Amino acid sequence: MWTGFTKQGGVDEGAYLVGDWSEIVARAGGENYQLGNCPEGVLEVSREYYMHEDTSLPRKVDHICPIRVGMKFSGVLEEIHRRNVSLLVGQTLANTDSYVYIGAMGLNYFYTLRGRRNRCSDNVAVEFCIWKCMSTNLFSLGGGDGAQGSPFEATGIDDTDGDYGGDATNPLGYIWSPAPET
Amino acid sequence: MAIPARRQDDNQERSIQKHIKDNFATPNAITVNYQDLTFDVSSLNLWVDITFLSHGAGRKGETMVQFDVYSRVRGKQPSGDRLMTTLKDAVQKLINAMHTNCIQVYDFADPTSPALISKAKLMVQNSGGTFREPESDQLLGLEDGVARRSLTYRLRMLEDASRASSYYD
Repeated sequence: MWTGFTKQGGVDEGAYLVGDWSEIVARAGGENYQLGNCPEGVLEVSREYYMHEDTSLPRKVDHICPIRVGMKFSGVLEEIHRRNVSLLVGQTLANTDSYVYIGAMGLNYFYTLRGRRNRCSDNVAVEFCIWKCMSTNLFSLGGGDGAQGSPFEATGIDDTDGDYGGDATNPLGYIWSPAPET
Repeated sequence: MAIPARRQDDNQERSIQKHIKDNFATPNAITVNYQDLTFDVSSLNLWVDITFLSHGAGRKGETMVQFDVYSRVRGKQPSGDRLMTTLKDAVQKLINAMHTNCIQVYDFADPTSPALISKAKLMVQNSGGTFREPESDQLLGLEDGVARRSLTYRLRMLEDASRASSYYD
């Protein structure tokens, strides 16, 4: 029997995160754009693996290798104005026109997305950054009694080239989280 | 088996009182009645009562605490708080003191030297989900020349916020 068990349940209750990602900032063209309220925001890091099984009986996994990794942030943008609308339909963040034209062939617009939330127990921030993203959501604006937002999804793209701040050791983005609390 | 110190109502109550004493009463020199039946208000112009309405923090529930801020208006005398500015200022200071993410819980087994319980925190979150804000804030009018404003706060234990606690000691 292993004797290393010492603690059941939570190890650091002070590390629980409660509430939403409270601040989301997109950066493009050297400008920071506050995206405003983004309830139900979810940061996802996806990873896929290839598993090879040998031909023994029963078959056992003898090799695993990662084949895909990605970063994505999705939520609901509640503040509907021309800059956010332009972002949500995959166009420029520096939009100064009240008309946002849909359906025309255009450039791909990329931006750096950063989000922050505070750890409740000591107010230390937890952050994420996706160096180079593109909006991959559909735009949908409903009606109802509450504030109505549109789904927002930003998918990260490899930035090994460093066009948006990434590099070979930090190609997609990062998550910054503080040390355990005492 | 007794539940652990951090989840005991008495320790939580006293921890909240300690927080109020350290962050509101002492720095602002405002008299606070920490549930003392012999508390005499006859010589006071401004004081605060703390009442615990319910207990549930640390048991997957919530604790409701009520602060009643009293200010003596004294009819229409110029020395009184007729415009209720003193009351408003005191309430603002109380709101500032409670505008905190978490209140540290202490073990008051020895009341003269409370022991900090690591990672035991009460968070201020109203039923709408907003952090650091009161659940309610009401001006309850005058009684015997004393104006009263009543604020309630909802407190949860941080570990209660964890969806699945595999083991709740």
